[in-house]
Amino acid sequence: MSEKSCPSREKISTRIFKNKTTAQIFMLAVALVVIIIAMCIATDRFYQINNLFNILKQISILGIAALGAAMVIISGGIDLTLGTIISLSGCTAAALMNNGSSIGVAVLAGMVVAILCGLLNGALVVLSKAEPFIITLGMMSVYKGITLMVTGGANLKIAPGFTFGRAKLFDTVPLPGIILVVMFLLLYFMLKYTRFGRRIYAIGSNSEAAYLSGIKINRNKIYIYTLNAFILGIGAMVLLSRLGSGNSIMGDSIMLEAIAGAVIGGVVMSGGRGSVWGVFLGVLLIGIISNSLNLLRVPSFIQYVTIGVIIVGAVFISNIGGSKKR
Amino acid sequence: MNKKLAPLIHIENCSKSFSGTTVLDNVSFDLYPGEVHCLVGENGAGKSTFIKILSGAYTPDCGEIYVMGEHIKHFEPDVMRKKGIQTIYQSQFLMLDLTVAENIYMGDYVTSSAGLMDYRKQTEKAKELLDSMELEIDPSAALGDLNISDRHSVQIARALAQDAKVLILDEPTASCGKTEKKMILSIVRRIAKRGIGIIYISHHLDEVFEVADRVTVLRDGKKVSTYLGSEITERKLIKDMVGRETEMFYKREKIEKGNEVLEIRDFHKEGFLNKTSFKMRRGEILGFTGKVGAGRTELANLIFGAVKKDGGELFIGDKKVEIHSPNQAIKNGVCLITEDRQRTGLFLDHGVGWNFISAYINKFKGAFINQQKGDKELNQYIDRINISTKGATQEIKYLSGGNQQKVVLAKWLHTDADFIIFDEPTKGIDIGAKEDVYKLMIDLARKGKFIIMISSDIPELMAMSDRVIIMKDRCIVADIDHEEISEENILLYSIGGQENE
Repeated sequence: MSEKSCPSREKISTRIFKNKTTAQIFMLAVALVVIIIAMCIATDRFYQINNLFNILKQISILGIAALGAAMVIISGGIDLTLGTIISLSGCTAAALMNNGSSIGVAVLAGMVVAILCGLLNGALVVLSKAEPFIITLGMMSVYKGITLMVTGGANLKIAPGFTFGRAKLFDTVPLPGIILVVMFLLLYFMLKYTRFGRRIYAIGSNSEAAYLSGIKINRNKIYIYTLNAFILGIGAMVLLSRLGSGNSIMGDSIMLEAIAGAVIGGVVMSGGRGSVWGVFLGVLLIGIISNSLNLLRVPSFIQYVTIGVIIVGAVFISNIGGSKKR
Repeated sequence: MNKKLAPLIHIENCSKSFSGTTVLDNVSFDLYPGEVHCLVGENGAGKSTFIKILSGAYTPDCGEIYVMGEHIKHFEPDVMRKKGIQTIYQSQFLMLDLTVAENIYMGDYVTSSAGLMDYRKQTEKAKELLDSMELEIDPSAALGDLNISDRHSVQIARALAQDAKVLILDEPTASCGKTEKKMILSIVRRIAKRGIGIIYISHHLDEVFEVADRVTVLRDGKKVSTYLGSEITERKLIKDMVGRETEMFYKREKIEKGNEVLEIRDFHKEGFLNKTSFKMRRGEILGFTGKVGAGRTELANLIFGAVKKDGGELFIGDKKVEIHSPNQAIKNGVCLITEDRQRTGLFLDHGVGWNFISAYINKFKGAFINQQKGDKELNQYIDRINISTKGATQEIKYLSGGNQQKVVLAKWLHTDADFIIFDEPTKGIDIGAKEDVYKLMIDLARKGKFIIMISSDIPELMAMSDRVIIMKDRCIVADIDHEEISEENILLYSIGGQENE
């Protein structure tokens, strides 16, 4: 029997590009180029080398957090404790330094606390079989409370030598920016070329098929949340050393922007799709836009509106580009 | 049934085809008030297309349809429902958390004069309705607390509340035990007495005998016969359901079978599968059949470790093999190619090559995967089983069903399993692709693999199997050798009621 061909099923965007994600990344890159050209015309302060490195510095912590967020979302989960883990981890290190511990011990403790939080998140998600949204929403409050206990509500001064977050290589390239780029590369390789990376995509794409293909879902979920927390711990240390002191809400606001960066970069909230390149461009877009608006002296409340519009717009475009059900 | 009355439904020469395949061919049909008209036929005979036309989901290509004398030209689910045709699909339950009364009046709420919900009145009305159906169901109980037959009764009550003139029941007893079955059948009879016409679809011939005023047999989209309830016999119905030209069968080459290599001993799980044992030889293709829910897919899931068993032993070679998860199954050379490939076999977000290595991830040495190597190996399968694709990076969702299925097969064969379970391997794929799958299975058998093929497609079972095991009510009821495999035999064991009770 002859099979009717239906070429209309494939969208034009996916005929040109390998898939939808690539198409969205391309659009994102176009948007970035347009904004950059516009800013170069609008103000001569934008394209100065100092400003460009400034942008890199500004997005470094957001970028690190967005990597973790993207990884969890690709696996079909979500981690709302993202910001509070940064706060708790940072404050743990700050509190120890404040009490006279050495930098090494304090950083180690901060990282261990972050990892324990991730382990707990993963274990609870797996054991409860509940939506990670609810579990991490609850844990967000738990970690916030613990952070407040650690700090006692005070601003904690850190050791004077703990300044790598403000350091610059060759007096120009900010160290946090380099850390960000290195982590992007590592995550890129992990997601693309390792068995673990492949499992993350498989679980997010179709967890039942993944299970039947021999992937241990529960174990890998715990790994994913723990690795995410490890990444956040690094972010917390960078943030702490840049701020120069720890307070209990130091990382809280990063959560939404990190998830936004991932989504703008083409990571699909239902899991299974997304790429590190996209996340990088998504975070860069957020960074360049807020930098531009600052340079143009646009009031901060307009900046919030702009970022929001971009998030909604990005999701809008990616969904319109998608094939509709018959 | 009263033939003096005007028919509720009158269908003349109705046909429907999809992309060149005729699924309903010149079918005529009548339904009178108070009649229970059973519709029987094998899978793919056209029953569900027929129902979908009557419920307004499909528009027929040609033919005239009259509902209560009115010529229907516009087919919409809403139109048909307003005409009083209510369809109750198998295992489609209402809101289990809501009460019986709320379910009955869902979307058609009983309100007070102020337009607010009047729960008391609603419960009273529901009670009246249930009483009139001679049902002892508490209208304020949560639907989830009722047993299966009562839930079905509630669905029927809901249809009556919406003023149904015609009730279409699609396998209402599919997930029922014996007593529940009896309950449903007696309700069906009672409802018919009210003058409602009932179209009753069932695979269970014993039910048909009990409840039918008339029976219509469909086969390959055509109406074969219509009998009065008093004139039917099991043999007659099965003969009409089967009656296929034998040229359609695939002719396979014979393969010498090897030693006994596999034994399943007392596999069981409460409420899922009763104790099941069988043996297999190398190079054997063992067919498994029976109705959906009879235990065949359940058995496959227990073997593969996808569902945890309560007990049972598996021996491959002389070795006892412990499988508690698909991961362990794959390590031990067992694979299960599931029936619902889109839901349980494929990663639709990803490419053909990506999907191809998805069951092979654990077999890569070290921490890394090697997609390039996978893509190269995929090319061999593309040639071997004729997968038509633009290449490894093409997204799998753009392949046809047959090609998707071939990618799933390639994915599993690549794990180099010895014991391969195919669950409905040719479901929903075209004839050309079917032949490729058959050839592949024979090829595997020749290499000494041992294969279970679960199938509802009887010609396929007859053509491919060295042996057929038939399951019913979670047990093996028959184990037939190749010589004795016939369509009548298989149907007799899997749906016939009398012989083996």
